Amino acid sequence: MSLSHTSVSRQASAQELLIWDKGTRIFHWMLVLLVVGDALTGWMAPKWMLNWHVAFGAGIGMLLIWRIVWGVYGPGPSRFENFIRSPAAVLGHLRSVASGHPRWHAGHNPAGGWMIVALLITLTLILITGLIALAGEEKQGILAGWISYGVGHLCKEIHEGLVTLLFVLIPTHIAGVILESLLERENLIRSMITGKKRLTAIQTLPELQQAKPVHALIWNSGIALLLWVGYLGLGEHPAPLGHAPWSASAAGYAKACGECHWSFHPSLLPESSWQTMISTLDNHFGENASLSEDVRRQMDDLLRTNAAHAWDTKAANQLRRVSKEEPMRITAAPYWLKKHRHIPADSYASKSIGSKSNCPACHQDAESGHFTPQAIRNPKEKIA
Amino acid sequence: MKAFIVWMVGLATVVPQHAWSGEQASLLEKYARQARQESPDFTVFQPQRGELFFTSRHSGGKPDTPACTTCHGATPTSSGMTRANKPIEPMAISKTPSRFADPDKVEKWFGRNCDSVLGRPCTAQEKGDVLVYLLKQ
Repeated sequence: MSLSHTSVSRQASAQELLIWDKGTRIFHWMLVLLVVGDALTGWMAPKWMLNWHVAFGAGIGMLLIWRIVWGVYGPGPSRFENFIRSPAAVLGHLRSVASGHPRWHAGHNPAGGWMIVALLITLTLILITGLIALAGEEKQGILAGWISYGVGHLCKEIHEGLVTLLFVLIPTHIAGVILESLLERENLIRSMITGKKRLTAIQTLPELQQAKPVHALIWNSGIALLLWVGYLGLGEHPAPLGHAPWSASAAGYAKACGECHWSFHPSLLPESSWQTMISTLDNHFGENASLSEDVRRQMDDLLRTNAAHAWDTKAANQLRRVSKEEPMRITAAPYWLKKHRHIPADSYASKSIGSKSNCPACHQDAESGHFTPQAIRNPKEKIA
Repeated sequence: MKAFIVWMVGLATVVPQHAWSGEQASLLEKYARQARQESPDFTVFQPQRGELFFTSRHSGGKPDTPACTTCHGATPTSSGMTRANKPIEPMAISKTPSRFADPDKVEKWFGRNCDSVLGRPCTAQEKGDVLVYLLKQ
């Protein structure tokens, strides 16, 4: 970044004033790109693209840290102390706007300044709740193992609520920019690209601070280091919630229960359903699936200790509620039906799937019980 | 030493291509003992009887599974498919050499499948007949 241009200074043309330094401009447009990317991957992209959503979010996180540091050590117009103004100043500004002759400000006007604060806080909270949701719901990310499903789920709701708020703030921000552009006859969107604003005779050049890029660099490096150390520390946590070690073959489960069908993870049904199932194996969905008494008892034990209530994954939490009519049928559970409602019924009959109960045909991590979004792959024969 | 080599070469030519393992042989012996107990007339297991048993439609079991071949495929050398859409390796020992090496597994599946196909447990003679038939495939 060019240091000589980070302060407010007169340019070649005496009429133009550099307000937005290169760093703030790049920050602004990268933020636009990443927010659009996150909005698209959050709302529209297929579920398995979650990694993109998370990566865009991480990018926004880095931008926010940079911007907050720049709000302290950046050049005048980028500093919080210059654009966070008293409520009286905001009211005064709004009154001047209402009169049709808004007071001129080199950087953000008092109302716009608060919008920046609102956007930064909202984005920060979206990232924090997203990170907690990722950890609690999917058992992924740096907080995996520390957050229960319940907390993660709550944070996902808050995450979505805050995104709704963000998409009220952004149009308001744009409307404010357009309004100010019209009233001041100055294209402020262009200003955020070139960094320059016109200076007319009646306007006095405000006294604004120079940037302190070295301070900013030290702070950014310090925060990055702190995050890195925190990440390493959290990563060493030995037994993340909902990640109880499970191996169908090691437990003898695959041999006992995985010869006719895939080894359904025990966390996909509550204990009560397994209890009924293990005592009615001679008529197991119309088949005789009886086991020797020894093996039956082992499996009874295994299924109970790993049933839905013993696991904290999303699937385990949601599948604790079973169908009233068919409590043993996972594919009849309300959550299963809800999650698969867009999949045409006849696609299950395709050769590579065979039936609804063949979870691993699309969920590559089914055996582990995790059912993460990233592991969803539609089989080669296309599901319409 | 020379005698030993001659003996080994001789053994290699005598032993059939798909040698039955000790487990498979002892399983057959067990079924033979049980068959003698069940019926004094029992003499020896017959692969032809086993083939007939394996390929015929039976009655008394579940309507969806009238024969062994319903799930196991038309012949012992073909693959089958479980009712839950999981492939079943061929029953023929030539195709799946590990077949019948685990007596508990054999008993588990005779237990389940005789009930599904016949509606009753299989006799020791039926089990032995099918076994010698499949071991010769």
